[in-house]
Amino acid sequence: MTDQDRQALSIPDFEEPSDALDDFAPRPKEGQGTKVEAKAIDAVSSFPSREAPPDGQLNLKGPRPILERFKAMCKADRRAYYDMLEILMDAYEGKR
Amino acid sequence: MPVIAFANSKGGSGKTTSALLLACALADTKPTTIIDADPRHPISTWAQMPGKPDRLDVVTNQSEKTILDEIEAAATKDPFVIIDLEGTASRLMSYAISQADLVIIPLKEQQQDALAALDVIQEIHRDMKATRRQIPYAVLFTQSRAAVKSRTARHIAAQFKENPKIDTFDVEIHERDAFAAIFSIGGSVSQLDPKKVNGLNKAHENVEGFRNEVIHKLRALTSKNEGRAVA
Repeated sequence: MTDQDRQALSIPDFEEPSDALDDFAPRPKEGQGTKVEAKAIDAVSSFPSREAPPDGQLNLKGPRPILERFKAMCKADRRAYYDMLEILMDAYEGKR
Repeated sequence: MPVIAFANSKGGSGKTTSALLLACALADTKPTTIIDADPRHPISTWAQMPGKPDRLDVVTNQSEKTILDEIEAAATKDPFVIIDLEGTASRLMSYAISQADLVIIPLKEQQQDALAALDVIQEIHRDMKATRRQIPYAVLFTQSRAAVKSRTARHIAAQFKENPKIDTFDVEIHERDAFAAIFSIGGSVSQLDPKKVNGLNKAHENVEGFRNEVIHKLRALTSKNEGRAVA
């Protein structure tokens, strides 16, 4: 008896199911927590921040009486120069 | 769930290309967000061309201070989040790594890329201490020759592949016209016209192989975390 004498199995051409990746889903919303993690990373990271600091600097040159007047205004209202500058700009633009 | 960060502190290592190939391949099946955290915004520029997959959202990172919120928002919206990082050792990279379920470290088989990759691996280990969790990572060789490799390339690759502590991808992203073409034509590799781009079939196979190995790694990690046998 040879293999040709034996009946061959009729094995169907199995179709592979397409992988729908249904085992992957969005993370549940946990909220908060990210600030704590940022601090934790800051404590150990050796990679520096590459971003420009949010604060800049402005040097003003002008007639001394005007500068003194501006400084006196700030002192009287106990305000930082930038703060008073914003108030004056807002007033100029009609926002106040 | 998976947040996948592409990180190498050296530019030109293949981060953007491999991140976009994976994002488009995943978006064929599931909603995917890619966060473009490279200040040159190459993926945001690509997204303005026609052909962006419908299920792919592109988020342009605003700053180091916003990256954690951007990742969280994307991860709670879509099953897959890909982060393309700048080729610089930056705090932004550290933040992104801290949120990743898998960090892919693309590198050309060159000494400079390899050294930068090792810097990133050290930073991942520092992030692990900070977050008190495992952050899995794997090295992906990019822009490699499909045929014969140089002796230097073999030398570099062997040191990673033979190191038991460093996971590497079996699949490599080869140097292919199709991978460059998507940035000048728009869309994904599967949408390119074989009459206009050479070797499209091979490129398609390459992307599929990469996608499948990423999925396999993610499933293996999930199984490991849940204490199940790896399939």
